[in-house]
Order: sequence, then structure tokens, then C-alpha cells
Amino acid sequence: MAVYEVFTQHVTYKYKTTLCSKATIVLVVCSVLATFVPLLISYRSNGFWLKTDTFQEQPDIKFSHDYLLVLQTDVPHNSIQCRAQFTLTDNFQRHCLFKSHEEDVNHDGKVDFINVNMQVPLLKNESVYSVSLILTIDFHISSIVQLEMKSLVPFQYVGALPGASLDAIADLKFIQKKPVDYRIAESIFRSPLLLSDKSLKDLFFTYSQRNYSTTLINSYSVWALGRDLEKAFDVKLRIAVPDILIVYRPGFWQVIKWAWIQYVSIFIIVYRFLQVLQEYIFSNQLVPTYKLVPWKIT
Amino acid sequence: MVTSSINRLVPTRFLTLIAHFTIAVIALWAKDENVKASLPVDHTVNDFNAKAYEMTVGLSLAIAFIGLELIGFLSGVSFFMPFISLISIAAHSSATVLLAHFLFDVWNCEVYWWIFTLCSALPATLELGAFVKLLQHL
Repeated sequence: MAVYEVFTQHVTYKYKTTLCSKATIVLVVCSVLATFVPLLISYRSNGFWLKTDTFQEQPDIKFSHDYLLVLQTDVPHNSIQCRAQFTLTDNFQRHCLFKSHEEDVNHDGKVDFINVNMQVPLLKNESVYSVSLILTIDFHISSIVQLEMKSLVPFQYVGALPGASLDAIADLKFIQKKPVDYRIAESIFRSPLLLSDKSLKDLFFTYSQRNYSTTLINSYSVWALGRDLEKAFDVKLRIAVPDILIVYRPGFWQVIKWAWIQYVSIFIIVYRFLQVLQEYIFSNQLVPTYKLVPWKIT
Repeated sequence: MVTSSINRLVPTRFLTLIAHFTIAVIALWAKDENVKASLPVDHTVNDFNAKAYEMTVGLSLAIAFIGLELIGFLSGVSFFMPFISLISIAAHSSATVLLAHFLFDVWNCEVYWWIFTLCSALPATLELGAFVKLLQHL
């Protein structure tokens, strides 16, 4: 009948030595190497401690129906302003027709497009050369980090010739100057942004200083010329809300987990190598030790 | 058993010594990048020459120590001392790996002196100790 190997068992030899011996030096050196070489390799090759990480999420955007439209005409210091909230003493205020609607194309409960349409009545002698439209939104990220803020969507267009209407489409982009902290719910910039006593310059200056803000990128505009004197100036803006990339500071366990993976994966190789080395050193008696065998020597 | 282990230690020690010698000669040729890496951006020609001289001295000393060890080893002084052979093999093999990294990653020249102390000076000192021990027995 054929014979096969059914089970194997290892024999353990014990090597004994005194505390002050060459074998102790070998043991200490090997232990120090096994501990610190993986640390040195994983640390020196960068990225040992995870400083920042990124994730993608579509932000939850709510248009808060507050806006500021500034049309620059050829009359100096006489821009046409339209606001959602205004005071009667405001000289430049003009009443306009404002329509907006939000689209949720994929029905996931998050707004995918914001459409804004404004019609500003003009005097017959007024010619519009530039459009600045600022919308305010409530911006909310909630999956890995919590960030809630009021933010601006500034759009600007300057035409070379007086226009009749502006049609534009653009993508919303999240701008961050520092990573968002993990799991610390940040509810910042909650105060209303478009105050009637603030100039456009002040507004942009304070807004650009913020660590987290939004802006429009990838914008395409059609500036129609030749105004019908009876018709109002027409501004149409369509804003897409795509997924945004958010840089955040990872939490304690994510940092430790990532460092541990790197350390252990190198440690296993170094440890195995040193095991083989020590086996060679001790079994060949390169350093003097007492070898104990598990059976009786007759 | 001791003889068989010595039979394996001797070629290993010889090979690691030769490997260290080879990489030290290569480093001596191609040290300019490392010298630049250890100098500030606005260094002068004199700074460069001083640092290059320092590196030349360090690498030449390393080669001299390898020569010393080869003499001691091949003349039989430490031929039958397995512990010294072991330290020599460990030091020179790690010196070879570290010097290769030193050249590839363009390490700072200050790092070289650590490599020199642990991987060239240490085994050479032990070799000298073996020599002294041998002389005492004579």
C-alpha cells in the first residue's frame, strides 16, 4: 500500500546562554533591527502618518432665494442693482422679475441643477455692458465630514458691446484652503451674506478670505446684442451641481490603521529574514550557547 | 559542524567585503550629487570643494579599512573567529545596501558618517582587536 505523509510536527531546540554573552548581543541587535527597520523604511518612504484624505460627494445645495444683480451701464456711477431684500432708501434699486427652479434629475433628494431667470426693465437710453449676479446657497456635506455653511455663487460677465440678454451655464465648485476636520460638525458662516449696506468690493474681499467657499467654473456664456427697446434685459443662468472632491483630516483610527498596515507588511518580511539569520547563527554555534535537545542523549 | 559553518562564512565575508569595496569606489566617482545635496542653494565653489574633500577622505578611509580587514582576514588573523566574521558580514552587507541607497536617493553627506562609523570603523576596530589579541598570544 502506498505510504503518504499524514502529519508533520516540528522539533524545538532551546539555546541557553547567560545575560552577558555574545548571544545576547545577537538577540538585542536582531530585536532592535526587527523593530526599527520597518519603522525606518515605512517612515522614510513618506506617507506613514496620513495627514489628509479625500472623498467625493454631491453636496446638498439649497438655493436660499437671496440674490444681488448688478448691471453696469454706460452711465458712470449709476449701476442698476436688483436685490431680494431691499430698503426703500436705496437709490439704485430696481424691481425685476426673478424666477428660479431647482431640478433633481436622478431623484436622489439632492439638487442637480439650479435655474435662474431674471428680467430687468431698462430705460430706452440705457445700455448694459456687464452683468454681476451673486446668488446665495445653503451648502451641506454630510457623509464623512459634516460641513454646513452659507455660501455665494458669484457670476460675472463683461461684454464689449451693449447686450440684450445673457445666457450662461456653469458648474459649482467647492474651494477649500484647509482640510475639513473629521467628525467635528462645522456650522460656519451662518450669517446672511448679502447685506444691503455692504459694497460689492467689501463682499468679495471678505468672501475670498474664507477657508471654505464656492465658485463657478467651466462657464459658457452667450451674450446677445441688439436690444429691443420695449423688452427687458434678460439674464438666464443654469448651475450644475456635480460631485465635489473634499480634502479632510482623517480621524485617529484611520491614521493608526494606515500606519499599522505599512508597518506590519514590512515587519513580516524583516522578521522572517532575521529569523532565518538567527537560525543560522545559533544552529552553527557562531556564538557560544548551550543547545538543549528535547530527547534524552544516551 | 564548526568547520562547515566556517566554510560558508569565509566566502560570504569575502564577497561582502568586495561588494562594499566596489560600491565605495563607485561612490567616490559619483559623489558630486550627494555633495550638492548637503549644501545650501547659494553655496560657493569653495564650499563645494571643502565638502567634496570631506567625502573623498571619508570614502578613502572606508576603502583603507576594507584593505586592512582583507589583510587581517586573508592572513588568517580573524579567519577562525566566527563572531568577528559575523559582525563583519552584517556590517559590510548593510553598508553595501545603505551606500546604494545613498547614491540612488541622493542622501545628505552627513548620513555617510553614520554609515562609515557603524559599517566601516566598527568591523575594522574589531579586526585590530583580533590582531592585538593574537599578538598577546605570541
